[in-house]
This record gives sequence, C-alpha cells and structure tokens, in this order.
Amino acid sequence: MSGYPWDELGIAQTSDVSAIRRAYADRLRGLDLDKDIQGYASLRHARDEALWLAKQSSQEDGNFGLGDLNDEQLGPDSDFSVTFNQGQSADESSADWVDVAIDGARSGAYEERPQPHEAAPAEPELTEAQLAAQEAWQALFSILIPNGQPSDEAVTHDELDAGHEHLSALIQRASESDLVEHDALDSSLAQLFAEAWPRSAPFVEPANQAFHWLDEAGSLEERPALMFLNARLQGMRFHEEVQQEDHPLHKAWVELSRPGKVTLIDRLKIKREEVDQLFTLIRSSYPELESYLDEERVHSWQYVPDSIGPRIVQYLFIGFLIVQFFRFCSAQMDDRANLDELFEQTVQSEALADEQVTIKVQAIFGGDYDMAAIRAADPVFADQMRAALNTEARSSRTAKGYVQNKALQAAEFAEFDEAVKIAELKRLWLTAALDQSTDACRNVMVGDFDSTPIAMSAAQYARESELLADLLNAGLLSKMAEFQGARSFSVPGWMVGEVLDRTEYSEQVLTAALQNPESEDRCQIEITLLGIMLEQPGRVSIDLLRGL
Amino acid sequence: MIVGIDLGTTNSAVAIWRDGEPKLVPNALGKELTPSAVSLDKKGQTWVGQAAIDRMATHPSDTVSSFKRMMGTEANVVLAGTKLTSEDLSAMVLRSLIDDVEEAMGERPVEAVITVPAYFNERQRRATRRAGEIAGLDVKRLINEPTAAALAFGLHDRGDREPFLVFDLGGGTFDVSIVEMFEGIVEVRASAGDNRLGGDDFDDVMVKLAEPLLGDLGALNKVPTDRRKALMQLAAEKTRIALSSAQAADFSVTVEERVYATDIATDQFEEAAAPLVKRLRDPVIRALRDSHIDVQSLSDIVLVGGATRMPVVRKALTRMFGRFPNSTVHPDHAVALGAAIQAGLLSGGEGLDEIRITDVAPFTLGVETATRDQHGRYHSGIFAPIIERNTPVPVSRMEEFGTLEDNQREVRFGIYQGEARDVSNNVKLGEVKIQVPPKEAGHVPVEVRFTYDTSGLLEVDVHVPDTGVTRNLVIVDEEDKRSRKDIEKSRSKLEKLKVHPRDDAENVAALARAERAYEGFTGMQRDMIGRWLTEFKGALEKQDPRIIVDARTDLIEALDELEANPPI
Repeated sequence: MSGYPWDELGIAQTSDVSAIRRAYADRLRGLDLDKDIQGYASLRHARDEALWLAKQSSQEDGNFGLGDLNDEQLGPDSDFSVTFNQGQSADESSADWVDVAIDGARSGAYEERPQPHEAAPAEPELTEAQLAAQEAWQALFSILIPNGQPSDEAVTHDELDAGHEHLSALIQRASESDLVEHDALDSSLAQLFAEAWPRSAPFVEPANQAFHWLDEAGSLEERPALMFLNARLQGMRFHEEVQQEDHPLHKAWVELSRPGKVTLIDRLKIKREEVDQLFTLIRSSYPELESYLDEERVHSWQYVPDSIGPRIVQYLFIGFLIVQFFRFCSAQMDDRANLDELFEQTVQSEALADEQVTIKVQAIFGGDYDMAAIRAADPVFADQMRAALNTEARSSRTAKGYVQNKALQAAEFAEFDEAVKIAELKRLWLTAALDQSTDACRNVMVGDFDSTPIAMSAAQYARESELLADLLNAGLLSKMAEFQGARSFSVPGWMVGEVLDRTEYSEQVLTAALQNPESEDRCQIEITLLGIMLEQPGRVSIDLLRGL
Repeated sequence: MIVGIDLGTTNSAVAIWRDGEPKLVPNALGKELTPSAVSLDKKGQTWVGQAAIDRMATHPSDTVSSFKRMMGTEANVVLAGTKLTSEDLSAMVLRSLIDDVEEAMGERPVEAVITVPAYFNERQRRATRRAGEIAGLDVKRLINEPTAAALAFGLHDRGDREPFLVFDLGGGTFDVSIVEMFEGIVEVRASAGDNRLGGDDFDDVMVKLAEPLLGDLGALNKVPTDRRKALMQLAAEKTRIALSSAQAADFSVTVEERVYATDIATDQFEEAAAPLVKRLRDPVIRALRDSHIDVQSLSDIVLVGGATRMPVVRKALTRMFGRFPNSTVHPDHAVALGAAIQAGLLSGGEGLDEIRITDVAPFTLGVETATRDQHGRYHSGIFAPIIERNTPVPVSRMEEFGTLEDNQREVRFGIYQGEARDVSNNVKLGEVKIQVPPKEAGHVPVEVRFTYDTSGLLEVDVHVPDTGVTRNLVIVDEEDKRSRKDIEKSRSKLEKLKVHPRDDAENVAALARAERAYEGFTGMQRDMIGRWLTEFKGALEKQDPRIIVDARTDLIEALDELEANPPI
C-alpha cells in the first residue's frame, strides 16, 4: 500500500474507480455509522480523494488542466474585469453557449470536477429554435459588448429596443428548453450582464423576472455573477423608490444629492436619523448609489463633533418672538377704579335699543345670534359684550375689535380644537390685512384691530363669524389673558424648513424676521408659518399652537 | 418486527420485510393505501382512512385530511369538540396502520421506520417522531421519502447504477434527490425540495379555475364555508384525476339536489397551474448543482408520489429533462416499500447483508453570530453555517467562536436551519446559553459542535475550554422537555376515542360511502341510494355476518356501477 488515502481504504494505489468503490463499500459495511461518525467521515474523505486521484492519473496524458476553470470563477469581490472566454467563444463556435458548466461554487461530496474538454459531446445538431436563440444571443452580446470591448456608455434607443427583443427571444427559448439549456442561458446571461455592467442595466430587470434571480439573493450559494447583479438590481429598485416623495428617506436623499456644504438650516430641516439611515443603507447594501450623492455634502454631514451626537439636530428650534397687546373690556380696564361707574354704565347699556344690539351682534357672530343667544352661551361674555358696545358708542374702539382681540386672548386657555380655530382666525385676519397694507397687518399682529379695521371678502367674513361663534360657544371669549407683551416661542426645524421651501426668503432673512417682530417680511412669514402649522397641527406643541 | 411506514399527506401505507422482500400490508378494506384522513363524532367515535374521506362531504367540520402540512407547527384542529394536533391525527393514522399489520401478522408491531419528506425541517421531523410515540411505536429511524423510493427502485435488480434522480411530488411536499448505487451501497448525493408544494396546491388551482365558471352559485353560497370547501376540493381532486386520461373533464358539485358543473379543459388547467410547475424547476436545478452532476449524465428519472401522475407535471418533466421518466416503480407504493427495506436493514433481515444506505442533510445548519465592522457598528443576525447542506450524514462538526464584548459574561447561540445569510429568514431550532469567564473581547473561545444523525436529527454541544463547562442542547428545548408528559397525555386522549371494531370497518366504510353518494346525486338516483342505505342498515341490524356481507357486496357493486356511469 502506498499511504493516504489508499491505506484508509485498504487497497493499493489504483486508477480503477470500481476497485475504489468496492473497497469503500466493504469498509462501510463494517461501520456502525451512528456510532462511528468520525470513522465514516475519514472513510468518505479517503474515498473522495482516491477517486479524484484516479481521475487525475487517467487524464495525465491529456491536456486537461484545472487552471482554466479557476479563471472563470468570479470571486465575490471580483470587479468583473473577468475574462470574456465564454462570450467570445460564442462568436467562434456554434454551440458553446449551452456548454457553460453547471458549476457549484462549493466542493461537496466527491466531486467530479467539470471537464469541459472531455464532457463536450460530439456537437449536437441544433434545432431551429436553438439556432434562433443562438442568433439572439450573439446579437445581444454585440450590443452589450460592442466590438468585443466592455463599454461604459449607455445603450442608444435603438440598441435598447433591439436588445429587449433579443432578450425576450432568449427568455422565451429558456422557458421551452430543457434544464441544461435553461440553466446555461440563465448563467450565461447573468455572466454577460455582470460583465457588461453598467451598459446592461436596462436588461437586468426583465431577465430577473424570467429567471427569478432575486430569489437567490442572500442565499449562501448565490452565484457570484448574481451576487453582483442582485446588488445592482436592489440598488436600482431602491434608487427608483427613494426618488418618490413618499419614501421615508426621500428628503435625506434629496439633501445628500444637493451640492455644497450642509448648513444649520439643512440640519434643521432634515432629520439626522434619516440621513444616518440612508448612509448605512447605501453603504451596506447599494454602494454604487453613493456616486449619486454630493461628495462635499456627504462629507460635511458626516463631520459631526462627537459631543453633539447624531440626534441633536432634530430637536433644534429657532426662537420666535411674538408681541401682543390685549384689550380688556373697557368697562373693566379704563374705568376699573370706579366700580360705581361700571355699574351705572352697565345699567345704561341695558338701555341700548335691543334692535341695534342685535344688528351689531349679528354682524359679529352671524345671523343666528342675538344678545339672548350670547347670554345663553356665555353669560359672563354677554356682560362684557354689553360694555364693549357701550364703549363703542363713546369711543373709536369698536365692539368688533374687542371681540377679535378677545379671541386672541382666548388662545391661552384653548384646548387643541379651539387653538386650531384661533390660529385659523389669525391667519384669516393677517391675510386680509396684508392685502390692505403691511401696517394693517402689523397692527393685527400685535392685537390692535381698531387702528385699521380689516376689510374682508364675504367668504372671509362668513368664516370669521363662524369661528368666533364657535369660540363663544366654547366659553372661551370671556376669558382674560394674564400675560401680554413680548413672548418668545420655539419653532421646530421642520417648520423652518417648510417656510424656506415655500417662500423666497433666505435663511438669514428668515432667522432675522423670526426674532424681530418689526421686520418687513414678518407678516408674510407669520402667515406661512400659520399655514404650515394648520396643515398638520398635531405635529406642533400645544404651546406653539396657542402662541403663534 | 420493525414495520416501514409511509406517512403521506394524502395516503399512507405500511410494509414489512418478509422472505427477502418488502411487502405491503393491506388495510381492513383490502387496500394498500389508507387515506390520511380522520373524522370524529361527538360520541368520540373515530373514522380513519377511506371512511373518513367519505365523511368529508357529509361532515366536513368533523373531518380533516392533509394534516401533514401542519406538522411541526402549533396549529391544531377541533373535530366534534375534540382538540387535536397534527401529531395526534398522524398518530391515529399510524395506529390504524399498525392494527392492519397486527391483523395480518398476528403480532402487534412496536418498532417502526417512518418516512418523512427529505425537505422536512428539524421541527417537522421531531413532530413526526412524536406522532409515532403517541401511537405507541418506538421510531427506530426516520428515513427520507425519496431515499426510501430510491431503495425500492434500486433493489429490484440490485445492479450498480449511475446517478439517478428521484422526483417525489406528493400531496403536500416536493423532494428531489440524486442517488447513486454501487456495490450494494445506496448513496444519496444531494436532496432539495419545497416542503410547501404538492398535489393539494394543484387542487386549489383547480378550485380557483372552476369556481367562476360554475355560474350563479346560489345555493352553493349558502352552504357553510367548510362544507363548501370540502365539496370543492373533492370535486377538484376528481377532475384532476379525470384529466389524467382525457382532454377535458367535468367539475361538478351537488348541493341540496342542485348540480353546479363546468367543463375544464387540459390546456385551461395547464395554464392555471403554470406558476406551480415553475416552482418544480428550482429544487431540481439546486440538487443538480449541489451534486455536480449534469442532466445528461443522469441515468434515470424516477417518479414517486401520486401527483406525478398528472399530465401537466409529466409534460413539465419531459421538457426539463429532455426525456421520458422511468415508471418502473409504483409511485404510491415505492416509499412504503423502501421504508420496509430500511426496517429490514435495521433488524438484520435476510438478503440485506450487502446493502447500506448513506444519506445527506438537506438543510444547512448553523448558529447566529454578530460582528463589528471597522466603524464599530454592530451587525447581528448573521448566519454562520456549521454543517452545510447536502453533507453526508451522520456528521459531526465543530466551529470555534469568540466573545464580542470586553468582560462578556454569557454567550448565547441561536441555532438555525436554512440557506439565507440573514438568520431571520431561516428556521430557528433553539437556543443555547453558556457562561464565560470575563475577559477581553475575543479572548474567550467557545466551541460549538453540531452532530446530525442518520434520522436527520440534530444535537448541539457548546463547550468553553477555559472553564471546562459543556452545555448540551436538545433541540427545541421547551418542546422536548414537555414531550414525555405530553406524549402520555396525547396517548391517553386518543385511547379514549373509540375505534370501530375491525370486523366492522368495511361496513362503516360502505355506509360512509353510500351517505356521501346520497349527497352527491340528485333525483331518481338519490332516492335509489336512499333505499339501498335503508336496506343495508336493516341487514346490519340482523347481525348475521353472512347477510351483512351479501348486503354490503350488493351495495358496493351498485354504488360502483352508479358512479362509473353517472347520469349527467
């Protein structure tokens, strides 16, 4: 005997396959497999090696070498500048493209290594369908690899159409053919597309539909060419999806693909978390998509001092200064010192002609309201309303302006639904006032509705009455705000971002205007902010909803 | 005596090794195949096999079939108020098969070889073994169905064979195995499959195809869902079988004396079944790739499983392999016969001295691992294979892993089976935890050894050399801890159920069949069957065996004739 594996099998070195098998069988019968797992493993190993050696020695005279095979194996990290042996031989010989060896990437059991030379049978007669498929293959090949050279250029429209036609002919053929041909077509197309990437990009998806390439994605035995193509396929799919506005990472994608450095405002608008998610996703799954991103921007996003940490940006707010003065019922405010007079005035006011009162009340709250209705809804406010009507009779301060101001004050006590209504009222007033003049608008902002009465369209007017009546019925109009003057709120980054998207303002102007109530652009900005807030009022804090 | 049992989705069979060959044991009705169906009533009376199938139309909510598809899952069914798992149901079928053997051999078998689809996973295999135990059997070995079929195919002339392919499409599962025979060794080179694809799926396709063609469903829509489903499935199966020998067949359902019928043509069915046929290709390709054998060098294509009789499947096969399959083995008998051969091997049966079988593990087995990338990010859920699929079994392999964190105190291994890199796409079999001494990350080696036995069952040992501690995981820990007690409980539950006396089995089956026929016909025929039923019941009451046998023979002949020449 002559060493391993022959000793293990108990025979002399031989190239006789059946002698090896017989020796293996005899030894196997002497084993209790479940009790001697190791013995079984080494026996099999010896048998496999012996068979392989036998094969080698019987081929020693031939020109068979394993080297060619290794060349054709694409490693997972291969850059696909791999040989074009298969493709080119397709040009030369008639049937080689069906000869692509079915070649598992792993070595299993005992492996009869693929032997292209020996295995190739006498060239079989090709059927008509096979000839047609072969023509389609060659045509597709020369589109993807023009003049035998891989090209980075995209295919032209004509090439695209022609390529699709050839590809569907091949797919059709595969669905009608036996497993050998099907498998050969499947593997050769994968190989061709991988090698001709990115020129092959438009053809990968239809081929995937036919051969279920993506089903193999992520499996341990994914063929190397498919590992490459599937990654591209998933990348292309992701690229398409992320460009849709409703994709959760769409904003991060748009942000990262814009040129230039990231600014503070960008950080406010885009959630750091989403940017991080996108980075991780692209780097782990679709590395080729990184070329779509702007290098500088990517770099500046990635440069975040450790102390800040990644989550901080989404919690950043910009300060927003608001100044408002509230009017109090003249009876209480102007003449608070003299309670007697208050009483007297109240009595007087009761004396006002009911008819006149009803007209004024209807002008404010709409046709369904008279003093009795107001009293029923909110008795305290009814008294205040009386007093305001009296004041109106004696000064330039209108009852309407009083109610409007009261509505602003009510914000401090409003729950969500009413706070939203007040914000809507405010936007209505500001919009109407801005149509008149910037000054008018600025007056409204600080709560002065008397200096320049707001002119409203019929629709605006109707809506105002409706909203005011709602506040009345909620019992909010009798409330008196405890605070007035200047206050500052925090506006969340995303709202700032929205304003930038919707207006022409630059970051600097916007930031300045938010902090300076006197700013020229303040009115427009406040209207825009209110608009944004009213679109998704649930997204802001109740404080902001009340304050803005 | 060890019996070989084919526990199928649609049909089951039992065989024994006698006088140097495997022999099928017929059931009480004299048939080799016992439908895998069970029916119960409120009194705890059970029907197994053909009688249960016949009760499917009349008592759909108390009858169940195809429960093999639920093996290894938590699912259970309630039949006439009794809750049963697929293991219980399988145990009832097994028990009925052992009864048949006891009747034939005069001795009750206590040991068995049971077949499972090659592509059954660990959970499904364990569930099958438990079913055997509930039925009171010591399950000596689980053997893969295509391997059993290969044994039956290979042993009929015992010559050497170049690699051949076993294509096993049963009622609910699909397996492909590549097998070679030399010097009395039957060597499985590779197996692949789809444990969720079978003849039942083709029936579903048939139902979907036929339903819209039945026109106004009227009364059919008023029938309870389970009954309607049962009726449709029975009709689909009938049509599918009829299409095996004709270009078109009738699909008809009778409800409350109304007949809903349509014609189904072969090409219509083929078109509807195309997606299923496509799914047949992938496992074939994978098995060939794994075994490094190309289609041309296959010496034979062996068909097993009732669903391979369908012309649509045959056609796909012929196209795939470019030749006609071998049909020397009986597609319904080969698996049970092969199981009996394996049983003979285990008991040292005569004439089997030279024969040995070696099989492979059809799934990759491994553990969940985690790692850090160069940015320090933590990636978990990565599958690290320890035993790759299609490795010959038994096999025992060890891999070494390390700790991930400094001063880590415990290492936890999730044990998985499957082919995906991401463990969440594989089947989790269990988990094992072990304490490790606190040290720098990566400095505590942990050895994991997987041992896979010839029944395809796994054992995992985890060893920490630093402490000398070894943990042995019995897979699916929880289930196995419970299982002793559970098996006892299930067994006593099943024992409370009443089985028809064996002498009565044929009468019970005849009655169930007549009652089903009564539902299935209308008008004159229905009245006729009604009269036959009354007569037969009268004969039964007389309790004279001779009268009963005559009445039953008459009834069955009459039914045979009626069903062979339906009036429509």
